[in-house]
Amino acid sequence: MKFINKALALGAALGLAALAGPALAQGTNAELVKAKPAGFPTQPIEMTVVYPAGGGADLTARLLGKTMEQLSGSRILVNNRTGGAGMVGHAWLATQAPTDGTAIGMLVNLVWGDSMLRAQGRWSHTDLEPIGYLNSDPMVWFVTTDGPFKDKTAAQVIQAAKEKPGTIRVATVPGSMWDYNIEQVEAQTGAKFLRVPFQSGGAGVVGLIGNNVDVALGFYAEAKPHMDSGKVRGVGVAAGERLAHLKDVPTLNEALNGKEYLWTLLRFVVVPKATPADRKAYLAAMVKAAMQDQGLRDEYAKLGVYFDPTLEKAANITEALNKEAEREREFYVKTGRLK
Amino acid sequence: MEAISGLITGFGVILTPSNIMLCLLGSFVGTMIGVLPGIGPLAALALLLPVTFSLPPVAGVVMLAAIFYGAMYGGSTTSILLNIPGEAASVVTCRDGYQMARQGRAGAALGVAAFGSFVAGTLSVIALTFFAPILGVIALRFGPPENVALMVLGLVCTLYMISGSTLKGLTMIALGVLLAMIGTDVVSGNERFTFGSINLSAGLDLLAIVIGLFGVSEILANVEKISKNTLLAEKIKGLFPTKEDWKASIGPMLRGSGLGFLLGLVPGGGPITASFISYAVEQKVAKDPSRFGKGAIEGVAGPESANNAAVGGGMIPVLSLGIPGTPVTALLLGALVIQGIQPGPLFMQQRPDLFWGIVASMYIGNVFLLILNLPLVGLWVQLLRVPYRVLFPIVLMLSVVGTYSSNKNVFDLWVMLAFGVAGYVLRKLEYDLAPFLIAFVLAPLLEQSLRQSLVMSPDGIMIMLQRPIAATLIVISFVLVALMIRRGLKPRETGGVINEVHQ
Amino acid sequence: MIERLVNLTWVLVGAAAAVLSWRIGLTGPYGPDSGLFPFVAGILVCLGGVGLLLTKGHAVNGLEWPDRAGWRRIGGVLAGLAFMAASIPYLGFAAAGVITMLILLRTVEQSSWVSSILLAVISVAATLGLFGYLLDLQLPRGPWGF
Repeated sequence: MKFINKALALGAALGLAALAGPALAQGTNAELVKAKPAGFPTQPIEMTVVYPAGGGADLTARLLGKTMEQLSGSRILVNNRTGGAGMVGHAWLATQAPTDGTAIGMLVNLVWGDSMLRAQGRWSHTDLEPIGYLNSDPMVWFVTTDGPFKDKTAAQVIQAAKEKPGTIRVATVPGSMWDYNIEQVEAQTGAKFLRVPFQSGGAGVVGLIGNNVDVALGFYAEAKPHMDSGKVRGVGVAAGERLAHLKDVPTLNEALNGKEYLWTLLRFVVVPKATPADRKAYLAAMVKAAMQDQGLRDEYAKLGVYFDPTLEKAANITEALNKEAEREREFYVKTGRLK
Repeated sequence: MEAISGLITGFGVILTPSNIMLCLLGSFVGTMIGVLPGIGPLAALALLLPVTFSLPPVAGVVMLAAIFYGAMYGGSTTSILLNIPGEAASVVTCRDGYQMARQGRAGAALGVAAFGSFVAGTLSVIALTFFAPILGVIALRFGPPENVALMVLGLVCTLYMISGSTLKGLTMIALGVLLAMIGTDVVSGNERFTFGSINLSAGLDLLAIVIGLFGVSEILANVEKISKNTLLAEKIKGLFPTKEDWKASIGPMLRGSGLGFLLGLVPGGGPITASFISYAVEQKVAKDPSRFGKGAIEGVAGPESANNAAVGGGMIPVLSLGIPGTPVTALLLGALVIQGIQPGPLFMQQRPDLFWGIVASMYIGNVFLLILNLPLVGLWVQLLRVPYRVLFPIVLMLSVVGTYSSNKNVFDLWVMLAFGVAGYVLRKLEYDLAPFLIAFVLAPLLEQSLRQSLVMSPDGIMIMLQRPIAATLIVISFVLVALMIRRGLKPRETGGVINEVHQ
Repeated sequence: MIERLVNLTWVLVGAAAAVLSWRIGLTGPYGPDSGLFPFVAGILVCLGGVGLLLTKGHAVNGLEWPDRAGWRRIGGVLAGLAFMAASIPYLGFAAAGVITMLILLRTVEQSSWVSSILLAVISVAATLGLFGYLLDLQLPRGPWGF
């Protein structure tokens, strides 16, 4: 963007504009600049995102990259490696990415499913080491405010699916958290939904508003504009506790009296395991400094995410995330997906 | 009128010297990047997106709109000049645009494409200005059964535009459907035909196929008998469209705009479908359909207007509901969100300044596109004087970069190469490749929507006839097929790209 | 000859796809399963191939294949592209690009070494400058850092 920046600078010089961007962080962080290990490559740090430009993961990464860059003074570029629905980027990070500290990845926990169910031993998520937690997005169950479940609770929705099995239409994304969440609910409660497949949670929410399904699972951000306009409301959240921005929506655990309904998109930063320890520590410090920046937190909050206090305060983020991965593995083993 | 006063507010927000400069800069850079072969609006927008992040919201949006219109228009330039589409929606533009260039009328084709883009862009923004909230609802009316009906109609229209052997065309359609099935089945999550390869697990990349099938194969066909001469031996006849050209194009532009706009509104539509259907329609209504594929200006004006209008129409669900229908509009939505703007049902009431600012910036982006591009037509035409031996390695290099940049996956380069070879052989054997592409694009959506419909429906396939929009579209499709069968499945004498190239 | 070979390819590819899809399963509880669409498409491709093999009218008249010099040029372009795709991960974009350009220019046009090298280096440098530097596109780097 240098030529455009130059053109903008020229414009500013001509007195055209007060074109300073919405500042996230102001100036570099002196400690962070000092912490840079000797011999750290001068090339830009490449942050890999395995989803396309403009999507939720991409926004998260770009906002993070911008803040990290401002605080550390090191160049950070976001690179969307989107092949194979994320698989290509995951495999690249785990097996081919440079280990000199110039490769980091902004991943979501879907990498675990890829690693356990699809990688066929070619790589494992343990080849990657988490260096910082960013935020979370729990699965939310939505209904419309004028449909059959306009004033019903999650328990009542599930009761209906139990009384008239196979008639309550729910939007799902096959072979993913959406499906797993529904499957778990069905197994625990004996309900039976009619699962209508969509390619994403957002598409399912559109299906819900268009009255093509009765219930949709998705993330808060995907339904936020429609919740604000009063068309859609949440009935349950697959998280450990209620969300600050959805105070009156109970968790599924509360509603169904369980403890295993935890399906959350976790976003975190990883480096290839073979990266030298001092460089890992530097990169981790960068992420940490960025996450302490109020500007970045506000931007993330605007996207409708949730900061999980357990993961934010965890002394060892690798262990904390590994525990989550183990929980997911247990589900796969229990349901026969993994031997 | 609420819309008028809103628009005045919008222009008030937008019209500052710095914004106008950004608009100019954006449309210039957008055009320049979009013009490069293999780099269409999607890639150009993705590449230029970060530029707008450092600007305040209004300035960022103004620049984005300008980049977007510039890139949209730029995508058709290489279709016309080199017979190499910058993206899937410009594939149809090659047919007649390149033939016009071969006849020395590249300037006319480029001019009509620019003007058609302007007309379509402006008309769709006007429609957006006055009807956005009402039209947004249409997007919601399009559930899975309506999508099925629309895809069927799209495929039926494709039958009409097959040039050369009908049997070969049908085989290509079937092959397009078959290859589109590679990858993870969205409905069940099963992998199909991936043979354990992670590179295939999300299917073949559309851009790699387009660049291989239409770009690389075109280069192969040209180097076969390369000469020291320039690409076009004929003299360049005039830089601008003549009076007759305008007269012939205005109808297609208006029809293309209307058609594209409507198709853009609905999730299954989008610029690719719009350009193909527009071409089929123009061919159908033309007095002398045999001119199509041989440099008919209607074949440039219609599809080029349609694909621009489709993106304009696609902005309505984005702004009024926050629902993107195509990758390009998804990218635009993402860019707005990064600017802290969350489009949705309440957007217009809560932030009228921004809503109307965006609308106003689209008017301005369109005007700048025209101002900037008409003079550039002369420059682009000069490109044809560059010897092909110098041009083709550079075009290949840019194609490699363009293909690689969309997924950052080297495997896509192999896909491009394989489709390049296949395209070369099939062109030689006079296969029409355009139906393959449209089938490849429509098939996954058709399959997914059909299976969704059947899951949803208690009465099986009857759901298609129980919903009025779906039923109407299905009936139209049946009528078109019946008409075609009555005509005896004879292909029209359209010639098509393939016949012409080797004459 | 090639025409018959292509038609035969349709028959075989279509049939193979149909068999594979049959194994995936054609119908499920709600109608079509994952296999149905590819099965139908495979059958149609196969039938198209059979039809083209059996009928005469569809064959191309006066099909012209390139002469030897033409094949050399086409071979040059394909070899260049294949080299590029194969070597990018190891050599990086810059080196792979220059070598590919040299292959293209030497085999296709048989330009002189001096002008080939000049054009190759300039065009690759321009591409790198535009995408790598100005647009911040991360093109693969070779072991030498560019």
